[in-house]
Amino acid sequence: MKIASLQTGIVRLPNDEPLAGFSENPNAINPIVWLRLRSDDGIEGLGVTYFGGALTGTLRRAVDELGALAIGEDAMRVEAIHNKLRDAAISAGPAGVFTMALSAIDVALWDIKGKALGLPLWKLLGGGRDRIPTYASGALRRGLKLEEAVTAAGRLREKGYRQAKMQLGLPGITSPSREVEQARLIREAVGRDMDLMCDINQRWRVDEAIDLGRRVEEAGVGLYWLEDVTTHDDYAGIARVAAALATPVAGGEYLWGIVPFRHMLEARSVDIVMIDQVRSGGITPWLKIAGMAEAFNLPVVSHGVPEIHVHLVGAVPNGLTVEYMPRLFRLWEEVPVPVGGELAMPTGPGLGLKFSEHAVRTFGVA
Amino acid sequence: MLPQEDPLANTPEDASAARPIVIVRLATDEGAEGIGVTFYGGAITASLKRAVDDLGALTIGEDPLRIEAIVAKLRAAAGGAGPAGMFTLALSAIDIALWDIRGKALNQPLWKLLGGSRQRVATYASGALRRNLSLNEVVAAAGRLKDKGFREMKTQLALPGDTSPAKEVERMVRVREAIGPDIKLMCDINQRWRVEQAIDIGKRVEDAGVGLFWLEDVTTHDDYAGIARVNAALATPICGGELVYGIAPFRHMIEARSVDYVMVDLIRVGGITQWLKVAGMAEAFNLPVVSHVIPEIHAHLVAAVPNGLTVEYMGWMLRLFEGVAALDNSEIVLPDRPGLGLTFNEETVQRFGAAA
Repeated sequence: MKIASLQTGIVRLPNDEPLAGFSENPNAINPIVWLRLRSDDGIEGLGVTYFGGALTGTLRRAVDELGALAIGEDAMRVEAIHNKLRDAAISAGPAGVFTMALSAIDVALWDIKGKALGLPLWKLLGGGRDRIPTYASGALRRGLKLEEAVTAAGRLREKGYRQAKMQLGLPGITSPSREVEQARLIREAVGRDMDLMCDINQRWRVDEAIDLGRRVEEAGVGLYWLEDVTTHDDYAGIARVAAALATPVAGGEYLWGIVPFRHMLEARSVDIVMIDQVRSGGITPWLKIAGMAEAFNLPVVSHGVPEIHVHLVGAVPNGLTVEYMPRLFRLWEEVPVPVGGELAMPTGPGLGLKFSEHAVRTFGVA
Repeated sequence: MLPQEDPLANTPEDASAARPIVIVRLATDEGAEGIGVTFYGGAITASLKRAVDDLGALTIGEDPLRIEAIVAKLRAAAGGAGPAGMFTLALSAIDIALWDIRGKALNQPLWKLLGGSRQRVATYASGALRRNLSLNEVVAAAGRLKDKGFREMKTQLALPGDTSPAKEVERMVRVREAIGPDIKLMCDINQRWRVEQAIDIGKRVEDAGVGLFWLEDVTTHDDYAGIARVNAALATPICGGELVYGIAPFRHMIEARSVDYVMVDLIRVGGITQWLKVAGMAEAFNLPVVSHVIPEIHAHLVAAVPNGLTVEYMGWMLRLFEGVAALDNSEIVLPDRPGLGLTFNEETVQRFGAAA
C-alpha cells in the first residue's frame, strides 16, 4: 500500500468557547492546517497541524513539500517515512515548523494504518482501557473577569465535568493575594470534589512560582496540578519548584520531539508529563515519550485535540487524563463527548474522525 | 541554488548538487539596505523563504534599531511555530539584515559595533577534507591547504562504508604526516559515533600521537550527558554546538560540561542578537567560542567578542557575496566598511536564482 496523493488546506476557526460560554477573545481566529493523505488502494488518512500563528501559510507549504516526498512510499512504514522526511529537510528540523508539518503526516499515516487494519487507533496502539477521564480546559482563562470565571466554573460542574483547569499569572495589575483569591473563588464554585488544575503558561519566575504556589497551598485550594510554572526549558528551575511545593507540577506541552523530554525527566522537573502530538512530531514520538515516562514512573497527559489524543492517552498504561479543549471541534463532523467526566474510546477504524465539509467550506481560506 | 563547490582544495562533495540559500534585503524608509541569508532548508527551502516573507512583512513599519522589540513581535506573531526550527532560521535572516542596517546607520563595521576585540581573527580551512574522499585524495588535499598557507584545518572521521578503528586512526596519522606537526588539525564526527565508540577511537587517535586541536560533534548533539562522558574520558578538547537552536539549549550543554569549545551557528541560534548572548554565557563559563560556516558574517562576531577563538572558513557561499574579507597569513582581516561590509553578487543572484 503506497501513498498516492495528498490535499491540504487552511481553515480559520472562530475562537468560541462551547464548554462554559465565556470566550476570552471572541474575535480571535485559530488557523488550522488540514491534510488528507490517500493511499493507492483508496484509504484516506486525516491529519491536522497548528500553532503556526503568522507562519500558518509557511506551515501549510511545509506540509505540501514534505507530503510530496511521502508519495510512493509504503504507508505502513511510518518510521521509514520519518527518516526520509528528516533527511530531506536537512536541518530545518528537528523542531519548529518541520516537526509540526511532520506530525500532520504522521497522524494521517496512523489513520491510514488503523483503517487498513480495521482497528481504532487506541486499540492498535495498546488498548489500555475502554474509558479515560477528561478535564474541561479553555473555559476558565485568565483573561475572563473574576465573576465570569466563577460563573463558568459553576457551569462546568453542572455539565458533569469532574476535572477542570483554570489559569493564574493574571494579566494587568495583580498581586499574590489576587492570584490566591482567584484560585479560592473558583475552588468554591466547583466544590470540593472536583479535580482543579491550574496553568501558568510560563508566566512566573521560579521564585514567584514557589511563593505563589505555597500561598495557594496554604489557602487550602488543593490543586490537582500546577502547570508550566516558568519558562518551559528551564528544567532545573522547574525542578526547584517541584521540589519546593507539595502540589504536583505538570509540564511538557512546549517541547519538540523526544530528546528534550529526556532532559526534563532526568532533571526531575515534573510529576505529570504533558505531551502535545503536534510539537512532539506526531503519534510515533508521542508513544516513545509515554514509554519513557512510564520508565520514570510518571503519568502522561495530553495537550489540545482530545479528538486525537483520546486514542493515545487511552492506549498507554500510564495515561492519566485527556485535556478536553474544543478548539478544533468545528472542523470535524463529530467528536467524542464526555459522559460523567470520561470519554469512551472511539469505535471507528483509525482516528474515527471525518472533516466537516461545511467547516472546510465556511472557514477555508486560499 | 548554489553549486556545491569546494574552492579551498577543489574537492567538491557532489558537484552536480545544489545548495539552496534564501536571501533577504530589508530596506528602510531612509534608503538604507540590510542584507541577510538563511539556509538549512533542504527539501523545505520554499517554506523557509515563505517564512522569511511572512516574518519580514511584520517588520515593516518597525524601528530597525529596536531589534529586541522586533524579535519579540515576531516571536509573538509566530505563536508556537517557534522557538527552534524554521521560525528561528527565518528570524536569523531578518536579524542579520537588521544588524547590517544598524551598522550602516551608525557608520560602523559590525565587528567594531559589537565589541571590536580584534580586527584580525584566526580561521581554519573547512569542507575540503571530508570523509567521502579516498585516503590518497584527503592526504593530497591536506597538502594543498598547507601550501595555500592555512595554519588550521578540519577533517572528518566516522568513515563511510567498511571502516574499523584501525582505518580511522590510519587516516588521521596520514593526514597529520601530510601537514606536519605545527598545523592545528580539527576533526568532525558529525554525530556519527556512539558514546563508547567516541571514547575508544578518540583514545586510539590520542595514542597514535595525532594531536587533534579538537574533536567535534562526537555523538548525537543533544545527548549532553553522553558528550560530557566523552569529554571527561579524552584529553583531546571536545567541540560542539552547531546543531543547537536558540540560547537555552546552550545553557544545558554548558551546564552538563559537554564541551571545551562552544560552536555557535548564527542561523540556528536565531541571528547575531542571540549569537552574542551565547558567546557571553560561554565567557562566563570560561570557554572560547568558534563559529559554524558562513565566515563572511561570522568573522565579525568571532572578532568582536573576547573569547572568540577561530572562524570556520567554509566556502559554501563565497560566490554569493562581494566584499568578502581577504585571508592574510591564515587570518581574516575585518573590513572598515559599515555593517556587514558585504553586498550580494548580482550575477550570482541572477544566474543561480530560483522561483519559489
